[in-house]
Amino acid sequence: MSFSYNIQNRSKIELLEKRYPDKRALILPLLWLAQKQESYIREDAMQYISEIVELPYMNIYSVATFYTMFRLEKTNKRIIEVCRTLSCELNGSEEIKKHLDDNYSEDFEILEVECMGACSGAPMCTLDGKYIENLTPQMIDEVLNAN
Amino acid sequence: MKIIVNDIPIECTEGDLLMDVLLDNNIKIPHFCYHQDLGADGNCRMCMVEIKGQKRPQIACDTFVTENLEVSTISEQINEVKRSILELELLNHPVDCPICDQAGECKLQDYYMDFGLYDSHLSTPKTKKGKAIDLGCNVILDQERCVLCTRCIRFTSDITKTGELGIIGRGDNARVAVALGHELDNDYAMNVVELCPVGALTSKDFRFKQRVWFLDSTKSVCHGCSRGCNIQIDYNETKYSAEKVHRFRSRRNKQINQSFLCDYGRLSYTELNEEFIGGISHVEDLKELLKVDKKIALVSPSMSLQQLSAVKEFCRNNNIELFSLPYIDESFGDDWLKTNDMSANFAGVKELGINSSEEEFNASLENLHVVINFDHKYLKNKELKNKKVVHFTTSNIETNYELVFAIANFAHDSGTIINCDMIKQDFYTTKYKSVHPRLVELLEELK
Repeated sequence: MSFSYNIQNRSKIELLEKRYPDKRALILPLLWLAQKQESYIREDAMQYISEIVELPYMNIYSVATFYTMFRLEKTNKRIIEVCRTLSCELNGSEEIKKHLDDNYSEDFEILEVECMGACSGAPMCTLDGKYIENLTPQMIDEVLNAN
Repeated sequence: MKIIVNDIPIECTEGDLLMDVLLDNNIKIPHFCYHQDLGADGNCRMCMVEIKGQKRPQIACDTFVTENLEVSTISEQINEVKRSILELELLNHPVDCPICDQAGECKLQDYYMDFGLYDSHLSTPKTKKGKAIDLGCNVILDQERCVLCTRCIRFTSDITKTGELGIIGRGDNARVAVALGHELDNDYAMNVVELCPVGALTSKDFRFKQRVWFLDSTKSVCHGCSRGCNIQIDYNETKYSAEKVHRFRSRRNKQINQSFLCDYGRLSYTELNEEFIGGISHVEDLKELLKVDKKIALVSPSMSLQQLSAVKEFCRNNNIELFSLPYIDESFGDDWLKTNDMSANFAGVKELGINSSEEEFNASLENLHVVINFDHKYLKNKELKNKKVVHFTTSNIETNYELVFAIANFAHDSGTIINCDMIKQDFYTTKYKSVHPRLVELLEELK
């Protein structure tokens, strides 16, 4: 089935359209909505977006590959995003990443991402989009085994 | 007004781009992303110059000239800047020049020899990217050799408006690509090969055939259609190969084709390698045949003015009815370079007053018995019953005609043609000789 936005997203897009002076600016929010809806960005979703913003498919694809937060492949695993930016790095994100890779990479998709604005709780990661802060390896075991 | 470049005053006009002024005055200014027909993008930073009164070096492709601007392109400081930029461009480059087709006409090589000459500071492994990716339309992409100047991308987005190419990924991983499941697909795609300043985009047609430093080059004009795009014929005569012309490159002409060519025209060089092989008739036999009363001749509208007027004179002297019919293909033309009239010099045919009425030609053809074809495609390999056919040809023919004379094609001849906008242009002969005589010489012999 070819991609289309669901009703909620369609009404969001309608509101967004009024916010920007030109359609090019809609690319990012449209990609976000597409990813939220399907858990990843399908190829035909980018095709659909290129029709909405009236730009070549390649432009949408470029933007989608530029940002690491966009996922272009489907995964059946749950997603953990580990911050790798300065504050987290100084507080030991490398150790956290290694612990996750060693013990949980079979059941979870573990990604490194840039700062998510939670430096006060460094090192941090997200699980299904929810922030988990002040991480230690023990804490990871607790949280992941509980979920 | 004037500006001062490296202490030498240069005449220019207010509002000119500094880059254009430098290029037009043949001042060496290294650059990747700037192209005179694609405009400035300012991403490569190679065209840095020092300007008196400005704290930092400026890029020449984004600086407009003002009265008495003092520019320096060769100081030690500016070379140091260029060296640093170049090092960054080359950081992940595979340095595979010995197997790269661009070697010899590569900007990275040139600039490295001019400004580089540093040792690599890289201590981690180089980023690996895609090699020999077939983009379609005869274009092969090597992502590791790319400097991300985006000339090819700007060509597809600004000029052809097809937008197949783009940059994907970011930082070290940024690379030129077509989208998944898509291909490069337009009639002008091979221009990106020529636009590419490095060996990232190479032509499937030319790859691995010749080293560019063995090629000789001659100024010519494309004979593919009536646009008359300016080209360079690149050729090399090698011992064991019949193939002599290896490629056409575009030659810049602001009025006609800027720096571009269509793929059809670019690949039409192959016709120049198909010279006639076989027995050639005696001139005496033709002289004998010319004594007959009723004769008709058809001349190719792609011949030069010199050839056409020689043919016209020949026909008048020998009492031959002369016609020329254009090569029209309604499906060929577009709204840019390609035209429906696929003959190179039909405007010249009209100027010389040669009859081009198809009805009259067909009516005359019915009644006349001797047909002389001066390389016209319509009669090539066509059986004409009960008629004696004399064929002057630049290429191979399969049909047996009464008399066959081989003549040199436009790579071996010089001349003048008029394009669809009535612009008269000269083309020149390559240095190597054809085995066949030029048409004008042959007709001289027949007098």
